[in-house]
Amino acid sequence: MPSDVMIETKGLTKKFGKLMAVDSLDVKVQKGIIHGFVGPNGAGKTTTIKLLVGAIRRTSGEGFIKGYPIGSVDARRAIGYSPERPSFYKDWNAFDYLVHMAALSGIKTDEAERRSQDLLEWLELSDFARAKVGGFSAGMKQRLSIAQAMSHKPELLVLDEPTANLDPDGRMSLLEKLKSLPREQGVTVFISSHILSELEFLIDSVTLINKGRTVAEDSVKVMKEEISLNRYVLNTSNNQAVMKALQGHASILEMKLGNDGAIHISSPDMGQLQSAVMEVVTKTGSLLKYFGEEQVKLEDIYRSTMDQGKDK
Amino acid sequence: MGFRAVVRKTLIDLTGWKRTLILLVFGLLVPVLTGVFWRFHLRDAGLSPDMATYYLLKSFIGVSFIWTTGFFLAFAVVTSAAGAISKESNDGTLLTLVSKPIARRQIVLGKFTGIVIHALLMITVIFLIQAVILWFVLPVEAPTFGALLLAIPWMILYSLLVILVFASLSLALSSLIDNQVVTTVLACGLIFFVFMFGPIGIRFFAMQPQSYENNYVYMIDGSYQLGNAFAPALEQALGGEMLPAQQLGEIKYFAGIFEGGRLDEGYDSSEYQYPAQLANYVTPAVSAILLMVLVAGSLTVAILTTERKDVG
Repeated sequence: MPSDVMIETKGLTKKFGKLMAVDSLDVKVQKGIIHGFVGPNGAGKTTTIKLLVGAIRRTSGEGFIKGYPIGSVDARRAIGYSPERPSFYKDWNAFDYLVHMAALSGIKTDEAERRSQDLLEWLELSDFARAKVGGFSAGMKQRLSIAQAMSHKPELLVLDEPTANLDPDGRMSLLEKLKSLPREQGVTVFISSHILSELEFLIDSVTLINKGRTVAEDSVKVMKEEISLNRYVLNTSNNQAVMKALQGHASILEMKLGNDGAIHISSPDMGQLQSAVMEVVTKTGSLLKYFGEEQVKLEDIYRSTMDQGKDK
Repeated sequence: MGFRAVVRKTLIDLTGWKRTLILLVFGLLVPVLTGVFWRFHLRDAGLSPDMATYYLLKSFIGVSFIWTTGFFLAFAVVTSAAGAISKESNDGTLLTLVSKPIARRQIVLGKFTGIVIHALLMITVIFLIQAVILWFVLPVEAPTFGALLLAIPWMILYSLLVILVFASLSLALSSLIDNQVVTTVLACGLIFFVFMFGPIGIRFFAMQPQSYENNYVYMIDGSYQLGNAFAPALEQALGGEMLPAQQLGEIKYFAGIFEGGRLDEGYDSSEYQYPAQLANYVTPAVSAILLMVLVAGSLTVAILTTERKDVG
């Protein structure tokens, strides 16, 4: 396994009785990036994450973290994990809890205390360091969970829906912190989230899964390029008339009026399309507002990929 | 470090002031009440100092065997160990715990060690408080009190045996069953089986005296095995001149009735001669080995079950 790979699974499978939760999943995540793990409810995201962190045992297939088999102590040493619904020792205060979590990972007490203090400050919880965790709000618990995941300076942070319980300000603040991790601390982040607009801001690459299988996996940039390839957006002062005039043009494969009010065109020849558009705009006496390549969002990738999955 | 963190966390959990107070009250309740009874008995009986010492030691050891190191200790250990794994599983904290770089067997053994240390400390404190209370309650001379104190180390040694057996059995149940209530009920049933199988069974088998022996029923008679394994410690007590032979006989009398070996008919403590006239179905060493095998087997079950458990 090349050294630049942080996570790799080959045919990873998990069955619960007759239920196939993860079905021959292949995932590859490079080091030092933020990787999104996206799929509909019940796609097997949380089960896959639990397999990666060694909480559950695989039925078949294999997986590696930094080259170590998933579930091994070496693999877990590289991982910091924040679960979807974190649970705590409610009678403990935040600081003692973090020190304990660091100690479990083999960190010496003085270093664990220093690290816990830093993490509480970083996650804006230092005012509540001595408060019992049982009294924390859902958002505070979420941040404390991320702190415990980072308590032993892991190389890989595995986050399952980390912003689920945070308010908008808290979300933005956390996302910015997470975004800085690969650059500032060399940490690889593997993040599962339903909120695609958040991931858009955060991730470098993505794995899309459905029904326990990998549907697509690549860097977000490449996926966007693939989807936006030969796709253009045209917006004029009179889109209806322009569309009518462009109908049946040889350079146009597909054309439709989008929800945004603009014309979305699929064409294999940008040059021919450009000439046709200019001609039609002039002919119809319309005002050209915008013409260019389609700006693809993560949501478009998700929809496009999942639609392909349905077709299959 | 990880192992020590688990031990520390277990000790912190078990030494909450409410729990400690309840255990101390329960642990001391019977000895103190009987102490008050002894006070009146000693005052009214008009015994000589030697006879008073003899009576007090006999009673102290008897109550300690039946209650303090018997039912009370077993119950305290069972309530500590029964929730050790299942509570973490129910509360959801086990998911975070198993994602840390610590082997699951270390989690089980750390909890076991914490429970054993706590129970030993607790029983030592209870014995010492018990002795001090008796010192104030009873009209006894210093040498009598000294003899009573010297009996305590041997009680603690016997306690260790009880602790190891019940902690390992309860931990195994806790790893097998996620429901803490069910685990505790089953573990309490286990206490009843271990301590009452002998006294009840011996009455049943008394009708057919050969059945108990011929069918090797004593092999599963927990009270016999515990008491029998303790015999070398009692002999050590004699060698160390801890107690006169007659007192040793009294200890064995209690051990025989409530904790182990069967006494021959016509036993008369006043004519007692060393070695004790216990029914030697198996040697004490065999009993000790059997109990240690039971402890090791139970811990193996707890470790294997926890290692194979899907968490979360």
